[in-house]
Amino acid sequence: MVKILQLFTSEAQLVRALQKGDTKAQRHLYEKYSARLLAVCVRYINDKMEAEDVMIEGFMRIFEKIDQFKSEGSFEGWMRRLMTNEALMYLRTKRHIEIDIDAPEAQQLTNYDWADANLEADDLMAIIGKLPTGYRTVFNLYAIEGFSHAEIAEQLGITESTSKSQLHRARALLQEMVKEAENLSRATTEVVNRLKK
Amino acid sequence: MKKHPTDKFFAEKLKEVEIKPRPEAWDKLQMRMQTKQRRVGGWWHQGPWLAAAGVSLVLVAGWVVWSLNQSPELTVAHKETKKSMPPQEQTIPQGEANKIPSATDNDAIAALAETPKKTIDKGVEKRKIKSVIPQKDSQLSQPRVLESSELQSSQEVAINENKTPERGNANIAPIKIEQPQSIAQNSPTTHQPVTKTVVLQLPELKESLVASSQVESNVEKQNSDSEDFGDNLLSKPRKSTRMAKVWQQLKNAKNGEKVDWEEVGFNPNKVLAKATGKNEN
Repeated sequence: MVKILQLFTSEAQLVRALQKGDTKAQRHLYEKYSARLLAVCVRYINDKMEAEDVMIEGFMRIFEKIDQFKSEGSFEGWMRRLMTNEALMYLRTKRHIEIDIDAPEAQQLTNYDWADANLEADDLMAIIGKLPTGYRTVFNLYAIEGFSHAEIAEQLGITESTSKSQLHRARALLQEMVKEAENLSRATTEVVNRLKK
Repeated sequence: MKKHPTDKFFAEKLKEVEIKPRPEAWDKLQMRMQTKQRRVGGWWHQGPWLAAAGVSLVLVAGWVVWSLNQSPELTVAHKETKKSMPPQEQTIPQGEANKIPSATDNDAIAALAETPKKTIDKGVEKRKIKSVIPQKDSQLSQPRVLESSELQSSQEVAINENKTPERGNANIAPIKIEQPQSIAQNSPTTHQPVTKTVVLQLPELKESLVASSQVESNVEKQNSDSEDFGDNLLSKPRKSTRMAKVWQQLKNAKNGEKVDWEEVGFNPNKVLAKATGKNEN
């Protein structure tokens, strides 16, 4: 493993080796980015096993399309986009993306101080996993990947206004769930402190 | 554009999240890549074969369609060709093949039909028909042409024979010439005896042959079994030579010369004695 990492010191070198179909370079890429890219898949697909399957397909896509990568932007960003597309394809084919118009209406967004939120990434991943698929997909695409509503609408085959409304509801639900999680966390901490005393 | 605090919070916290896949995920990835490469390679290699198969399929389908479209025209054309044929050739079914010589008759055949050698001629006709029928199955027009040429040749031969002074009866001449032709067509083994008869072209023998044939024709008029005899006489010339010997002995008896009954093969006195004995009994 150490030897493999030593072989590809720079990203450009790694990309060149991948473009030649070097299996060592492929293994190196997998070792370096598989965990991050699996996290991307899990954010869209709330099932680790299925997300892993999608990640494998995404890596195959990366190896196939490595010649299309122009060394202009970030290599990791390019891979994340491919992985996102793979996850969306999976959602389109296996699970129809539910545009939850009739989903339980979230409460209006209140002024919440996110700086006070003391939740770990795993907790946030669990919270996102509880969102309905449509909310989760639009939120992931807009908030984390940085797509515009127009792009999301084109990707998912929905209107921009639907994308906006989905995002708004997703934010409201997330705020509620984060509050609940925060309250639960505080309560748990208090109980632990009392027990310690 | 200022990012929403919720989006900012989640993006910052989740951007660097890592979830380690199971160790077997890499093996799974490798296995899938190998199968995909094989599949791609397979298609690459099978592409020309598939293309060839497709082209052949298209050709076969095209031929089938073309043949289906062309078949009515062909039948029409076939009918037209049949119509263009002479009526005597048009109405010749296989079952009525024995009518072919009579339908395609010319003067020579008509003369043959009227001769007392009609029975012999029938045998010749039968042989000709037998040789024509299988040809007719394969090609409709060819046997007719051949037959007409044969008839023409037989006519020519008959005319030539008529010019010869030796043949008194013009009707017999074409029979004798036509017979070896037909025999030669059917069986080459029977051709050799004919050449033997040609060798024995003595004036006496010719006379004997003509006389014997005349006698036979008289007998044939009375008895239908003589047809076989006539066939035997013509097909087996050795008997005719024996008959010539017999005729010679009869002539000897007539002239009062010594008769060699061993040469004949039988003694008429003994035969007469047996016949009378049987009658008495």
